[in-house]
Amino acid sequence: MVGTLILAMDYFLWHYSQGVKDILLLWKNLLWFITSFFSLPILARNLLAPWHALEEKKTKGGIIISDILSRLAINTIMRLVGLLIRSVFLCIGLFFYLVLLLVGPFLLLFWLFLPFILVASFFIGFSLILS
Amino acid sequence: MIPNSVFYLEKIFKHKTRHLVSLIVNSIFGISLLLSAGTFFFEETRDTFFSLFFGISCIVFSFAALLFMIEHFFLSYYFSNSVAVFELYRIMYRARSERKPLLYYIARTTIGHEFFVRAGADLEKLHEFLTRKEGFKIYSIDELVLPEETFEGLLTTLFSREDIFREFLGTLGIIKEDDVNTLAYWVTRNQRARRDKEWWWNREQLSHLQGIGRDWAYAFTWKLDKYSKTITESSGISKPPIFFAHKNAVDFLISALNKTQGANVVIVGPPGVGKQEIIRNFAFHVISGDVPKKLRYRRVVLFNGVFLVSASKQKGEFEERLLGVFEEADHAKNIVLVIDSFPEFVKSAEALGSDITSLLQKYFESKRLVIIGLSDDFGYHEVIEKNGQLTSHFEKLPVEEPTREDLFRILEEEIQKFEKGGNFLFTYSAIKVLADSTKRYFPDGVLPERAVDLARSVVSFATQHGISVVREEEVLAEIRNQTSIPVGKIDEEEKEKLLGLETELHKRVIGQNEAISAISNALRRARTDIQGRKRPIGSFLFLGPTGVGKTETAKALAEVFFKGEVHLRRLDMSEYKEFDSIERLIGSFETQKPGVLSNLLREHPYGVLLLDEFEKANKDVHDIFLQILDEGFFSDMNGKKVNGRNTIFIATSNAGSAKISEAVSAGVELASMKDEIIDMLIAESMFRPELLNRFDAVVLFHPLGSEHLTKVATLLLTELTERLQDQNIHLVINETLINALVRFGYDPKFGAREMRRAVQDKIENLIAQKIIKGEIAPGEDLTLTDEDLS
Repeated sequence: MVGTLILAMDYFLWHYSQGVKDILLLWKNLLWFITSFFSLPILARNLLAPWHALEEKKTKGGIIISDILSRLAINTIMRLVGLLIRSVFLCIGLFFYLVLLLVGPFLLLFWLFLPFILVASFFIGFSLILS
Repeated sequence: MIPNSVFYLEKIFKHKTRHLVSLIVNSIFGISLLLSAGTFFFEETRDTFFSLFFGISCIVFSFAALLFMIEHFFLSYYFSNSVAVFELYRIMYRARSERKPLLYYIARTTIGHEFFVRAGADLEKLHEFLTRKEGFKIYSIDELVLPEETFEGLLTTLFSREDIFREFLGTLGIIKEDDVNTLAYWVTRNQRARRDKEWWWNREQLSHLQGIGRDWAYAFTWKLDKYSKTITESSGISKPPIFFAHKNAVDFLISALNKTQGANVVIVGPPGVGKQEIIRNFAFHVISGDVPKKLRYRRVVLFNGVFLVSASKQKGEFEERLLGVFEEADHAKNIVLVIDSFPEFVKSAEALGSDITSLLQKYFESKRLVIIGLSDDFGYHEVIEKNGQLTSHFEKLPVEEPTREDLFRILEEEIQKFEKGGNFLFTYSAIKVLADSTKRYFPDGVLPERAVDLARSVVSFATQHGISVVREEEVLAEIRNQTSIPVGKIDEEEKEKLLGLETELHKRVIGQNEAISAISNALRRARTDIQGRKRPIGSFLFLGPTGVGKTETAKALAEVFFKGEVHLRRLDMSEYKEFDSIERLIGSFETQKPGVLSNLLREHPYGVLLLDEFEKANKDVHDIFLQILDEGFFSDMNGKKVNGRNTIFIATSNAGSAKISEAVSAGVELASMKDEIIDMLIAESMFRPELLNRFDAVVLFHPLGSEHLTKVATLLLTELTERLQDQNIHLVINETLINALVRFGYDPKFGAREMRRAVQDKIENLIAQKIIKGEIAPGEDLTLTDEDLS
């Protein structure tokens, strides 16, 4: 009995100290993971870069308008393809990032109130069954 | 600091039970929620049943939340402390009542139980040991001063303080504190691996997952892909090992490759030392981004240059393809190009007439491309070192074989992988034997690969035989299978054989008691490992006249020690008296022709090597044997070590035989003449004293007397009788036959050597004639008379 009481005390101490730190660390790690997994900084940095560096380079001497226009068209398409695919993944990554960013404080709040929610839930449950 | 309540929680509600209960409660919670939602489809009963199911959901939720909270309370301390510390605290908590010996509580924890099982303890005996009423001294950790507050610290301290524990581990072959520490560290690492599996949100765990889109800005490398594979994409790269022996090499590689320009390294080491593992570990760092920005998230690609050469028919074609590959790799900007078998690649290109160094100079100096070459030592000296341009472009990273301690850990990691795939477990003693025996019995292999190969064979052996606990014996049995060397514990049969070696050898060798006794003693020493490990199993110089049993003794030795005469190899040393003898024996550097002795020892490293007429060999040849007999190896023409530590060397010589015969005729005890004869051999410059001193024993063979000849004749006739049994002919061995054989076969010059021929020429011929003439019917006794034999 004494052991259980000490356990409860230690638990409460932990819940509002190290427990909170753990939640924050988990939040931080998951945010880092989403940034890293979706390569958000890399995608943002290379947003306008051609898809897999596919570029048409100047091969002929002199200025040939048709050649310049052709290269311009191909290179623009490659950059647009790159932009499109990166944007899609950037958006998905940012969506998850934002969701997690917003969920974090709620998660923390939920954690802080969890002991009370637990007790409340128990009694509410009973009252609902008995009602 | 870990509060006691964490372990109190474990005591009243175990980790595993919590998991199970959580699973059940969460399932009930899910079902009750679903049922609550389901009530909306039934309007009439909705109000009643919703309240009921949702009420149940709320109650179950409170239980689920409670379980979640206490689970994370435990995990928080479990994850934030090292396994070694956490487990120590767990034991401290359990042992606080001091009712039972400390060891009892240690063995009750998962890690402690694994310690004893890996130590090789039988569970019944362990229980018997832990529940003994007497003998234990330590009941509390407070009685101990730990060098460090870890599980390993506790076990080593206990080992030095608790006599009964030391004795118990001693029976399992664990006799040093160092062994206890290594074993405790091993089980701690295993526990850590199990813990890390649960800790998925740890930054380290999350970093091993490869991200999306990291290479989208970099060019495709179609040409390069035809001749390479991407290491950073291979499936096995998902998680690095906890321990990595070549960590320093990887650190060096990362720092050397971080140069702005011309960042190239050549990793040099023998095949099997772990060059590929270094690359794989480097790739782990690259994937997780744990490297300088220049290398972060690059593609590590293993390029097979030799394949590219062989796929090209002509120089022009090859150079075009090669430049295409390198141009692509350079243009891609994110490639770490690992060139496998770098010297072979350079050489094979040279054979096509292509000079890679000048061809690829631009890429060696590139700011974008990072190149790593893999080379063995020989190839490095032969090809790269001689090429000034290559050495200036590539920084050398030498890789050495792991130390014994590191080899232990590598084996532990590898064995953990093997254990996952099978229903067996390796004990510490098995790993110890693996680590210690590989170099000794498989000297040609490189560590750690050779040791891992041996472990693989042991795994196969264990699987075939349904062995669940792999101990020292299984490893030794596998070594015995592969080498024919008797190793390991001496069983009853072998014990009898070793103690009766003299009798065993005398079955084939008549007389020569001193010689047989000297050899038997040396073999017994070798078998019990008393003489140490850095010499051949045995080395003997047999001196005596021809035909007295020197060669027969060598054959008998091969039969008894290696279980077969096939393990006897012979070199006629009289063929090595010329000036070029050394080259013929150890090989020629100029012609690259391997030597006879090098080949013989490499192809047959286990057995008896008979060096006939040793005194006739060149003095330089004798000098080679100085090293072999002393250290157990020599270097061949390329400086590669040739091992003779698993061989018994027997040199025979007729030198001094006149003196021996003289002494025997004069009735002088041969043993008393030994020093005199040896002095004479030294004085006549036949052998140098330092060479004679290197032999385990110089053995004098005396000429055979009439009683010996009779025994030799009987022995040979018995062999013949056994052969004739197959034809259903029973040859009667009587005095007449024996005397006749002695008469035919003995020659004072050649001893009993001619006797075997006499059996063939005289007796076998005679029997053959009788068979053809129909004078002997199958099943009949055959008695040869004086008349027949005259």
